[in-house]
Amino acid sequence: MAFTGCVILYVVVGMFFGFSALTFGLVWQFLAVSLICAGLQFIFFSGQVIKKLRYVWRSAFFFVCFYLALTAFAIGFAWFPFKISSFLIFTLIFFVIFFILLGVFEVYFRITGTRYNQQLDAYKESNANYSLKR
Amino acid sequence: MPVKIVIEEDNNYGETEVVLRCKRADEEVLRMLAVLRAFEKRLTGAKDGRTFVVEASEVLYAESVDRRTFFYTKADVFETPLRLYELEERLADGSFFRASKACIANLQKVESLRPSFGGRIELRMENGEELLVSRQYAPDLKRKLEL
Repeated sequence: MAFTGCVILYVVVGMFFGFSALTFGLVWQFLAVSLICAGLQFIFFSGQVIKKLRYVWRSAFFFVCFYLALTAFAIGFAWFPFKISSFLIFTLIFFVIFFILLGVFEVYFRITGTRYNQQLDAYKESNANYSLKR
Repeated sequence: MPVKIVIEEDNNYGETEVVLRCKRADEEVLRMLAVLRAFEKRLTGAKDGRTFVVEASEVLYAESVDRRTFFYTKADVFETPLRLYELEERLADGSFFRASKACIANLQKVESLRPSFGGRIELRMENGEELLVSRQYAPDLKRKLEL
């Protein structure tokens, strides 16, 4: 999914900057970025590496690490001219996409979470009806 | 279906006895039985060199760390000689469920649920701690909650 996202983003950005092709090298770079994204997601959200940390902090650390990784790729592979304005546009696009995705996930998680908690309350209530009090 | 509950107090009774009278042992009756079974379940755990007896209903979750098994109440943590799978078997038919390879949690002690990335579910326990139900075990939890 991350790889598909990279390609789609490249196509959208390319429309504005007149790109006409996706080079072979760039495909490998996107693949590497996708693997890094998946790896960071495993580290911060799987619960297997970082076991007890609040969701907000997991998201914050993921955001910083992924941003640094992307920046390293952007500089290392010269994704754009090494100018302040280009770097600022890159950062802005990253922020916007990240927070839009985060917002979409947050809405989904809240709606689904509400349903889960309703079922949890129903479960507790049905078991409480059968509890004996000492 | 309404349930008639009768409590008879008498000093002559040696132990507490519960008799379930029903027309048929249907799903509702079996659930009552499961709650009763969980109620009488007790666990022994060690803390600070002393052994304590804790009711299963007070346990929030149990986890396995470095081949040792611990169970947690709201304010304490105890070590049990049982392996996690043995604890799970003892607490079966109740509100305990497997959250991950190294953790079983008490659904009655879950304060809230929240879905997370990758099909996982975050649990917020009554003591404020957060546990993660892995993708492998999330379907079992959903089934338990009839989701």
